[in-house]
Amino acid sequence: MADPASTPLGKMLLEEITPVVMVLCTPYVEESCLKNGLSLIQLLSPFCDFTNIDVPVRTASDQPYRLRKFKLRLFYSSDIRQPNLEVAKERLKKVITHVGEKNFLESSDPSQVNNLLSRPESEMLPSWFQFFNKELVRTLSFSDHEAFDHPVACLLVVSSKDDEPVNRFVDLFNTNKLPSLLNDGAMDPKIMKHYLLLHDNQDGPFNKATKLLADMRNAFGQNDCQIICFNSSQDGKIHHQDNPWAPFKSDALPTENLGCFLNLDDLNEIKDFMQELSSKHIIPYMEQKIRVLNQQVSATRKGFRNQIKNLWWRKGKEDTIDTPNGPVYTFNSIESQIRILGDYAFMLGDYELALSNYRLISTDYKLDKAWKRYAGVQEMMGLTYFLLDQSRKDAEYCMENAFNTYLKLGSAGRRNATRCGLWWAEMLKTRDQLKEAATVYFRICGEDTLHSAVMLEQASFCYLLSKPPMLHKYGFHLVLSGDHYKKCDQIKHAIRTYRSAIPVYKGTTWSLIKDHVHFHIGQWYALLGMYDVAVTHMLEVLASTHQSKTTQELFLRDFLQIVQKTGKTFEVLKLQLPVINISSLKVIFEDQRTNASAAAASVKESLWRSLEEDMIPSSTARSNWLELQSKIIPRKYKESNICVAGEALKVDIEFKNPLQIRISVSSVSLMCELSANPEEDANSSNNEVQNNEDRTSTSSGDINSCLILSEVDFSLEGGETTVVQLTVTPRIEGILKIVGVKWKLSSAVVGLCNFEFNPVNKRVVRGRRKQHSPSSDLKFLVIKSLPRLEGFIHSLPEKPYAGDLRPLVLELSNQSKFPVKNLKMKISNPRFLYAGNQKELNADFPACLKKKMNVEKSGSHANVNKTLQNLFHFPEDISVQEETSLSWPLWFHAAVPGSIPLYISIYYEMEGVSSIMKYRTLRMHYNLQVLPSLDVSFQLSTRPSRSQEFLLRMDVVNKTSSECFQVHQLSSVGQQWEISLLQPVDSILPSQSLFAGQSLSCFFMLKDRRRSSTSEDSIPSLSHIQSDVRLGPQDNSEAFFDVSSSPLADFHDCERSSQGMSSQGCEYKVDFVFIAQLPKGNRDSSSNAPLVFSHHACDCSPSSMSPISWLVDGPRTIQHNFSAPLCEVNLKMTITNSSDAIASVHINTFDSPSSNNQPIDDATTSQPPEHQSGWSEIPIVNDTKIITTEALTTRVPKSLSLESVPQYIWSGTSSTKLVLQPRSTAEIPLQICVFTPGIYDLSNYVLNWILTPVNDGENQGEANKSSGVCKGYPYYLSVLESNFKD
Amino acid sequence: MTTTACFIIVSRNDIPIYEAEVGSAAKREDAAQLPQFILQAALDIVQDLAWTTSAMFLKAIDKFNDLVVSVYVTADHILNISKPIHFLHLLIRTRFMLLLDSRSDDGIKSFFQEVHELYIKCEIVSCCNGMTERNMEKIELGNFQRLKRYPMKMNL
Repeated sequence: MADPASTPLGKMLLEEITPVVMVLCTPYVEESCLKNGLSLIQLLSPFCDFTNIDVPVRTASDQPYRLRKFKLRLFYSSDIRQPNLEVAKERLKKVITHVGEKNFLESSDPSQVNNLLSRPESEMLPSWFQFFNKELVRTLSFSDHEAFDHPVACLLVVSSKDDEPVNRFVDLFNTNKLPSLLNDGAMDPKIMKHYLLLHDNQDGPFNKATKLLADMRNAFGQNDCQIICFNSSQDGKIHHQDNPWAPFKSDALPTENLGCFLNLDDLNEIKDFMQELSSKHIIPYMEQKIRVLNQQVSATRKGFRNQIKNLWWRKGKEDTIDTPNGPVYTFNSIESQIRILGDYAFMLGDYELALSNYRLISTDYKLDKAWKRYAGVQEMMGLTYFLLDQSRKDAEYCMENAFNTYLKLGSAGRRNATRCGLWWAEMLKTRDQLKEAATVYFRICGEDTLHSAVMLEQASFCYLLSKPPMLHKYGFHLVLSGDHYKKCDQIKHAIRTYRSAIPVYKGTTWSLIKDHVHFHIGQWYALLGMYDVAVTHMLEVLASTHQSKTTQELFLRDFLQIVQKTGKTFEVLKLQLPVINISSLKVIFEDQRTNASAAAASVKESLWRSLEEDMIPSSTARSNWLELQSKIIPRKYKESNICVAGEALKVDIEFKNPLQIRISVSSVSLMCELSANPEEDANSSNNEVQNNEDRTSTSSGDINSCLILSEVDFSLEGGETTVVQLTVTPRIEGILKIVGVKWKLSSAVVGLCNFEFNPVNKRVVRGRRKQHSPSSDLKFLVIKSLPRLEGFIHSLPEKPYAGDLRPLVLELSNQSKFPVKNLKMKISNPRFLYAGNQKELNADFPACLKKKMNVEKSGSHANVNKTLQNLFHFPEDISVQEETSLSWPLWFHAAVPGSIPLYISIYYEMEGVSSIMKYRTLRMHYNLQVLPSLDVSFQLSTRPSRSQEFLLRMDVVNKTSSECFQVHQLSSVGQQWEISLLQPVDSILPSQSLFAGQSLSCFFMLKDRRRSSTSEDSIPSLSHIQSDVRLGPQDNSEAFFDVSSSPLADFHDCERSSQGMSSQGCEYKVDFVFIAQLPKGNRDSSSNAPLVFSHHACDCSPSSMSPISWLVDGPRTIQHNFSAPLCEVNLKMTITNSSDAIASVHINTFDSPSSNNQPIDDATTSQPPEHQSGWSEIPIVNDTKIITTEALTTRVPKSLSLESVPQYIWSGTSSTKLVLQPRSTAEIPLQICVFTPGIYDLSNYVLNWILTPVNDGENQGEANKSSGVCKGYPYYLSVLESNFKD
Repeated sequence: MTTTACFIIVSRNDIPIYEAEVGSAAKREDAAQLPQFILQAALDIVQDLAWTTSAMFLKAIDKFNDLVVSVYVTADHILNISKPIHFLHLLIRTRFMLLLDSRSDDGIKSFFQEVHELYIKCEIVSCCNGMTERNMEKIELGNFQRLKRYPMKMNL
């Protein structure tokens, strides 16, 4: 280390621990001095500091040394007392406040930690710390336990104007006016006196003063009296270039001309006087005193004998005085004298001597338990060690000891501890032990919050300056310091410290810390009324998701309050509340493709494209159109999307509330720019550039504005996410650019989000064929207004039952002023929907479906091709005129249950309106949820006796939960078959109504008319052919539904094709149409007409060409009380062998339906796979049936329950084998057990049969042997819960 | 006796990846950020100390008023990894920091050791699941919820 004296602490000590000179003067003296704007002490002070005095000093040792630096401290006698605590505090506070104001205005915060560290150390460390520390130390001056503040000499000053100056001198040193230190015995009142006569040259001639001086010399001695003449300048216009008094008069005004009456001679005179006072009087006096004291001390305390004596004596004294401050020592006690000796030696720079005396006295004080004095001596020892630069350890030990001892004294020693700590910290800082210094600063913090704040701030700088810098500690202590400042209402300091901490915490993931810092800065700025800055800081904490709910509420409330106080609406570019999911951005716009509903817009483009493939102009035409477009549209905008003036662009954006509290968002709207197309109409008058700023203010109200923007208000609960659709409608042609979105948070702050910020994930729904740059995705070429058809299907049922057949009306309306023509329509799923004829529009339903008696059935299949192609051309003469609408009938048939998407695309052309767009398409999309209704299955078996007659068995189950269907008719398609009931339906179903859950089995006889006509016993003629059978009341005269005319026939064709069967088949294939009705008003309250349900079964062929036929017979409905564990049902199976061979039949029953290889009929299977692109037919719902009671009531995955729990159990034999003789019949008993009520399908069995020809000879036997497997047919058994015991 | 305790796991780039208030004392709303401040500031001390000792458990390295910071540093200076191994990078130089208002070094040490084991398991499991480093830092260490009951076990 360099010279300890040149370190900051050394300099400080050499300035602060110097001899004190008490100044006593008369009012005239002051008056003369004040002419210069200075008090006497201020006048003298600049000349008390001697940097090169070069005085030989000889203290205790015989070896003299030269003193270079020396300083005197001058005090008025009235100031020589311990400063008033309150006044001192007030002064310190003023200092801090002043600095706060000054620094607050000047502060420029580095934004980066690196910048912070790159600055030089002196710049980093605020200079006012030094000043503050000095002031703080000075509050402890003139304590009685230390001697270095005790006046060494007394300077008595009398003006030549005074009457009888000699007497004035005597009066001045009046004991009554002297400081208490001298009076109460803490110091020796016999101090060195020096007499000075001050002569003001303006008051009179000098000779009077010389006479007075002579008198003084006679009275007080030759050497101790001196005279100074000053104020020699008469006009008082002397200006001192480097004003020596400036540092000593801090409150001087800059205009004040200090020392204006003092010319150079005066200054030199003062200087010489002070020099002489120091070197010729004070220093020799101190030397003298040291020597005297040293001798005394040596006599009484040095040497072995004295030490023993002292110990003995002290021990004896031990139990006498024990006041809190320890014993009281007067100036003439040996302890005080040792201390004075030490302090004088210290002040004269003889540190060795000082140290030895401090050591000596320290043990004494310790033994006496004079703790304050002990600590004071320890403190001095530490400083002496430091200045000697000897043992660092000892220095630190002493300082710590002193510090702790002061602390032990409690509040009395607190301030001393502060001073000691400051010196200690300085010492550590000098030795680069910055971390330790910071700890010391931290320990200094005590009751005084304001001082603690400064200490903490100093500690933080220690951490910053330590190597390597401890930035976290730095930040933490700054924040602590800021908190303390805040407690003392030093808000500017608080803000300053917090702001200094920001670079440390920038980008940190320690979220609570960051929030704390920003929130408090914001709050404090608001207190100062600097709301703008406050808001910027509050914004940082707004979206703090990790905070508790109450904290979030607090943040938001404070934020809004501050914003309110600013009195204006803020526009914030990166408002985090609510969070906008840019990747969710979805732009829906319509060029030549228009959507009837939002649902249609969300369908994949590829799906539409495949649907429209053969409807819109072919690919060659399209390329022509493209060429055309490229000619017309400016090259620059060729890639941008096209939209039509007057039509809204929709933008879906997702907003998320990251907080746990509710936030309200209002006036959400898009920011758009609409500029005139620069190349198209450069000279057009209305190519004003629409700025987003004025747009929002006028928004939707202004009819004449070129853009119409929608505004949305919503509120978000905690954590909620919502998708908002915003629209913008350009009204004139030009280039439209969607810039971003803006919203108002709690109607106070406007948040802006620019879409260009993160364009990577943006997704435009109507993606073009080319890859775009993201910015062009939000840029649109607005073209002239075009006709746009709007389409709507009236009363399309959302949840029809399967089989529902009804007419619908498609309404196309044209709001524009131009007609459209050449309409074409394509429907994705003709099985469900197809276009009818215009004349059917007002037809009476369902009467129009019924057979007309006198109408020939020509052209019934005329539109087969049309329906199969799915493409419907409207008649050529049909066009939709301006502002009219067109209604067109549609036929709807809910073919299969399940979730069915319907896509309809309508193509139309407009002429002469736009050269860019020749045609448009209207896309409609509906989702149907078709519920299962009646389940119809047919089984055809040949009559063993007559091959041209068949036994038809129809099983119908009502699978709905509540509806009651009326069975109406069964028809066979074509004229080939004649159908008749085997037994009247009345006997099976007396009410003709099929209630929910009920099942029905009917038997019919089916005759092949062609066969029978050729056969020998055929009687019936053509006119009597019955291809329809009425299932309702037989006496009903109601006409049959005509299955051979549109729309039933058309739908039947669709069914045929979709079930994958060709029209031509084997001769035994029959198609059936079963028609039921739902009574009026039962389901749809809006329509009074009965609903018609048609169920189509195609290509029923006699199930068994097999020689074995069987019939399961038994009860159809059983009531059972299920409090008994199970219900046994007995059945009977009648097996008939109709062949001429011996049949061996093997009946196997399964308990588990899954082992029966029956696919599960689930509604979900009918949905097309989600990922499938392009068009696909709906898969056919499998016609195999599983009947369970929960089929309708619940939609839980049935496979699980089916596999886990069998519905019923076959009891008795699980396998039966029997041999049947040719043309014989056998009966087998069967039994099942049922556990719960329900409807059961007892088809879980298989018949294996093997035919062995009867004794036809050995050679033929094996060859003709045939075998087969028959699956069980459905047999429905209803088991009901009965309440009574049976 | 009520205890204030805050446990934080800090990744090697000074990002807190797990945080738990495990004390039994009622949480003070206005001083919720204090543990973070103290523990973050203590990182500076850890930085100095970790190079001077080979021990993982650094005992009470820092204190603020009555609150004592105990730190456990996972292997870093012990493992000399020349090649970056993906998951080891996540394991090294992670600091477990516990802020307590009472001291019981043995209890804390065993607590840290248990946490360390748990932490390694969590990290390796998530690494095996193909987690990227970025995700790792955000990962909610579900298993660590178990820690909440540890202070009772520590006999503090």
